[in-house]
Amino acid sequence: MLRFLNSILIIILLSTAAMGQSKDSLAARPSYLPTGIRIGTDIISLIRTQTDDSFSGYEFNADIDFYRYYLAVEAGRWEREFNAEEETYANSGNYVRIGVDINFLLKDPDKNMFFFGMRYGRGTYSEQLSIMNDPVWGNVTTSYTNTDVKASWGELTTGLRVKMWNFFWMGYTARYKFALNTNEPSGFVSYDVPGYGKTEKETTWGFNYQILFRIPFRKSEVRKLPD
Amino acid sequence: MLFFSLAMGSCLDEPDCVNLSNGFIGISFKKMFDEKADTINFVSIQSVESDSIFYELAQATAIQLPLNQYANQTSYTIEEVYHENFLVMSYAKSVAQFVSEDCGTRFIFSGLEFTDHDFDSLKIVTNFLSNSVQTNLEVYRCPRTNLVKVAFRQLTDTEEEADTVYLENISADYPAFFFIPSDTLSVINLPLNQNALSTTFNFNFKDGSSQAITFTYTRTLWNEFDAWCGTLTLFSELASTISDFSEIEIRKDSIHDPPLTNVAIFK
Repeated sequence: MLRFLNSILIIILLSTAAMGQSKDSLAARPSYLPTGIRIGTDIISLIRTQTDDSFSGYEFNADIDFYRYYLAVEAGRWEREFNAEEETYANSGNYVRIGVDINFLLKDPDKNMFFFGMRYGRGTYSEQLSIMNDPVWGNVTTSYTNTDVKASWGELTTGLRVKMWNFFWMGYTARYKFALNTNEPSGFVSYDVPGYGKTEKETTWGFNYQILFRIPFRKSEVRKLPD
Repeated sequence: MLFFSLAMGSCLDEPDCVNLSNGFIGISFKKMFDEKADTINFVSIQSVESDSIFYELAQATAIQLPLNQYANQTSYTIEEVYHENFLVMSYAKSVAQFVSEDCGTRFIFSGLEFTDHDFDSLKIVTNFLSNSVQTNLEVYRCPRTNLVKVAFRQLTDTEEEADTVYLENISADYPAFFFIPSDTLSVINLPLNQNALSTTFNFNFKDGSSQAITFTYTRTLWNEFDAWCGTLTLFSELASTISDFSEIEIRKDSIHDPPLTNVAIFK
C-alpha cells in the first residue's frame, strides 16, 4: 500500500517538475502572493440532504492561491442513519480537511484550474447502534455507543475549477481516501466516519461538486511567452 | 486516468451478508473406540438464554451452534436419544460492527474457552473462531455395548426382503429406554439388560396384537476405556430362547457399535 502511494506521489511530483521546465519558466520569477480567495459549498451534500433519508450534511470549501499552489481547506458536518431490521445505526460529527492543490493550467487568463492535490482529514464524531430484537436470542434491547471518536485520514484529489461568470465559479473534486485511523474504544467498531465514509474497506472514494465565489485581492499576473 | 482507476478500484461493493460473524462453534461427534464419525440422533439442542431450538429431531455427525453475542458465556443442553449433555463456553465480550441495512450487525468473538461439560470425552481442536464452518470440538462417546439390532424381514417367492411393522410400543422386563424413530419401522435397536443373563421384550403392534421375544447371552467385563466410561459389559453368544414370532434367525451373536443386524424376525 505504502509503495503504491509513493508511486502516485512520484508521478505527481514528476508531472509538476516537468511542467516547471516549460519555456515560460525562463521568464520572470513567478509571484507567490495570493491573488484571491475562493469560498464555496458542496452542492452534492445539500442535494443528498434533501433526497437521501439516511444522510444529512453540508460542506464548505475555501482555497487561496500561491502561484500554481492552492492551500485548500474544507470543513463540514454529516449525520447518517441506517435502519436495518430490528437495528438502527446513527452517527453525527464534524470534519475538516486541509491540503494543497497543484494547478496544471498555469497559462489560463481566467485562472481556471485542473489540479491534483493532497489532503489531511480529521473528524470528530459520535455513533450509536441499537438492537431491539435478535432472531436467535430474542428480545435484547441493547445499544452500543462511541462518543467523541477522533478520526484521521489522507486523500489524493483531482478536479476542476471553472470561472462561470464574474466572481461565480463551479468545480468538482474527486477524492481517493486512504489510511483511515480511528480511536474508538473496543466493543463497537465504527461503521461510517463523517468526511470519510464507510470504514469497511481500507480505501474509499468521494466526490464533491462545488459552487464557489472568488474574492480577488489583486489582479493576477498573466505572463506571456517570450517571442 | 490513474486517479479514476484508483477511485473505481476502491468502489464499495455491497457486502455479502453470509458468514460475516465468527460466532459459531463447530462440534463433531466421534466414537471413542475407532475415532470415526458418529451419527447422533438429536432430540433438541437448547440454550438457557434462548427460546430457539436447534437440531430438533435431526440426525447429524457435526453441528454448528451460535454463541450469544450479548453475553460472555453461552451454555447448551444437548439432548440426543441416549444421553443429555451440557456444554458451557466463555469468551471475551463480542465486538459489534454494523455492516449494512441489508445485513445488519456482525459480531466478532475472541478468547473462546470451553468452561464445562459432561460429555464422555472431549478434544479441543481449536479455540480460534472463524467465519467459515470449522470444527472447534470433537466429542467422543463411550461404546454402546448392549444394543441388539433387530430387523423385521419377510420372505417372497424368490428372496428375502425388509418387512414394515406398525408398532404401538415396546417394553422390557427391566426399566429400559427405547428409541423408536417412527411408528412404522423395519429395524429397531433393543437394549439388553447388563444386570441379567436374559432380557425379554414385548412388542405391541398397532393392530392390537402383542408378541414377545427373550434373548439370552454371555456377559464379559471390559476395562479398555475405564478412565472415561468405567467398566463396560460386552455381550456375546446371543440366542433367542422364547419367542411368539413365527421364525427367528440369529445372524450375529455378539454386539457391535454401531449395531449390525443381530436378529432377523419373520413376523
